Amino acid sequence: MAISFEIVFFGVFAGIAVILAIMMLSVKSPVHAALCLVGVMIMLAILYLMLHAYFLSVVQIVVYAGAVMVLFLFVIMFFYSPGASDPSRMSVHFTHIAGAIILAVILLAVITGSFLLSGNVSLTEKPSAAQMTDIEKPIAETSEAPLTEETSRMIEKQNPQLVGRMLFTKYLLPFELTSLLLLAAMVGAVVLARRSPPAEAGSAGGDGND
Amino acid sequence: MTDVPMFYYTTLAALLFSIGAVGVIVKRNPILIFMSIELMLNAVNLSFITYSRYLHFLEGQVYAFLLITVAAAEVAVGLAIIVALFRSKREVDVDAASLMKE
Amino acid sequence: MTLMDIVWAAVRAAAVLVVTLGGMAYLTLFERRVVGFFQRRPGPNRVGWQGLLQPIADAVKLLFKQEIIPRNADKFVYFLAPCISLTAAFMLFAVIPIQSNFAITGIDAQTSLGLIEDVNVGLIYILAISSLGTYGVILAGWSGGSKYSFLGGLRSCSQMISYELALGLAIIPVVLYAGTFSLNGIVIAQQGFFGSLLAKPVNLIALIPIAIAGVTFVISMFAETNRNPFDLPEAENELVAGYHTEYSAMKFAMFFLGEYVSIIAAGALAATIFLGGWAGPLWFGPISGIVWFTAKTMFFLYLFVWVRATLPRFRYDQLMKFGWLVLLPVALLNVILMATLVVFGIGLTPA
Repeated sequence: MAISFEIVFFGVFAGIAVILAIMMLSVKSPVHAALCLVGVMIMLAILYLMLHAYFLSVVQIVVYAGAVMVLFLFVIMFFYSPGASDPSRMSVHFTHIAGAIILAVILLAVITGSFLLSGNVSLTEKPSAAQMTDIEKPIAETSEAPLTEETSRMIEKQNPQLVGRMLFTKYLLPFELTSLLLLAAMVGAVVLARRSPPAEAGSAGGDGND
Repeated sequence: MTDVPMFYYTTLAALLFSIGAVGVIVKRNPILIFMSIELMLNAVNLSFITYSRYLHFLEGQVYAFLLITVAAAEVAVGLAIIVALFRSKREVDVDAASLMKE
Repeated sequence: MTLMDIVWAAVRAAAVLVVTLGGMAYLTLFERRVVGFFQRRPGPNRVGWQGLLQPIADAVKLLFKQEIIPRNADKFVYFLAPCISLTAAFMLFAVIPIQSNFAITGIDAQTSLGLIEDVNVGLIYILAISSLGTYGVILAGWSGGSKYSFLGGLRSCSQMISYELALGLAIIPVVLYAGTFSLNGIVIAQQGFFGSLLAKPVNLIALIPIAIAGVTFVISMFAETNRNPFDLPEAENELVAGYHTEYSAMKFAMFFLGEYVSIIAAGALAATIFLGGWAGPLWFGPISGIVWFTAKTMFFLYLFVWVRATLPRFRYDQLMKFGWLVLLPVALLNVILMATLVVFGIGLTPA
């Protein structure tokens, strides 16, 4: 077979992601736009699976699709009834759109160019010893070849363990800081979203806890 | 089996990032602008994870994880601000929030 | 990945689909008969022998009903919502193992049914998919363009989000004990539990947090699947029919299907995580795994019906209070308890 399934799958999912992202900007109803964004996030989760980032792929769905976008939909649904389109669309001039697209093309060219300049890495290259993670090292040392197909598969199946170990050892401080950040965000959301200070303090709590 | 070249993934990330940037510039509705920012963050995540896979650095996934967490915190506060804005102004244009200038 | 793998995965997925749909149809009959038994009346027993053809009659009735689409509905979202509900419910089955490694078929001895090969994320995948289920509810409530269904959708959405936290925390003690997110790995860990007692009798203490986790898990599963005593979306006296008020005929049937499929999935999950899934004390040939698995799932399905027939419905504020002030703290303390035990060398994780 000339073309591998992986490339076909990549093409399909990446294509859907890009189309949905463009649709997000072009559809009338904000709810439809939010649904397009959910679609993009799910496509990205599938691509993460293809990149063997299993843990991140599931976290992407739990946090982004499951919590963040539900929060978005909650807010949008409070302000728009079905069939309503976003009135602020009317105040956008054609020149704005044209200018933005030109800017975006330049941005795309710059980013892609810098990615290209940084070099293309193929998967067949073996990682050097310095690049190996702490967990890969002992496995690679005991076996003859640095990383055979078998051992790298075994390592990939342990993906949540590896990411978790890293989070709780080398990156413990950033991890703890994010928990502090989340707490601050929760308090901030509760304070901002409640109508008047004494009333309904309890009901506003649901907003921030996600 | 031939694998997908890394270049494909990075191009996809760049494309999504640019589309998000267009959204931030063009849209007037704060919710849609916010959603475009989320799209840009997702594109960054994709490139983190791509590099993590192709350079065999697990750090990329750790950064992506932290990024997702930070984005969640950001959304909680940002949406609370938008709700407060909608409530006080009954307007859906970001320019309505320029009260501090006057 | 070859073409054969993809075809094989599709065949497995189709088999699960057919079995679950059949199981779901007869779960409705089972529920009505059992509830009838609890209420000392016969229940549906007219269509076919003992009412065995009743589900088919119901399906035909729903198929031929008139479809009413509200005028001010958002058509696209209105069609999308029931599809999401049903798909999310079916996707839960992708990682539930129903056989031991001695699979009937020779191919790869793969145990989990679906697309995700036995990678170490099975349990988080379950959480992810069940969080997608909220979309069906909230979109259905909004798209009908009716206040009743919108309020119902908001209520059940916040209910599902609140209880999802308790659900997530309830499975952590099991993960801490088994040291893996893979459902098959968890079953294997449970299989080795009684064997490990001989070497380490202290391990018996681990049953305490696991049992608490089991109870919290089942309670939050009741809430996740919108079942009694948490079936507020169907609080007829306040909200007509909750989020699916505006739905009729086949689209209503899809919500109905989705609800029952997710009940089966919840039962299968509880059986896998807390009762050992396909593992059983007796081994009788290659189908033993499926038999044990089905028996344990049936037990939980009966529990679902039993609870429905016994308990009254919660009020909305009671439900939220119970979720946030009782279930969540208990689950949280339970995680700390299990973590402490693991630190002191109990469980399968090497310290």
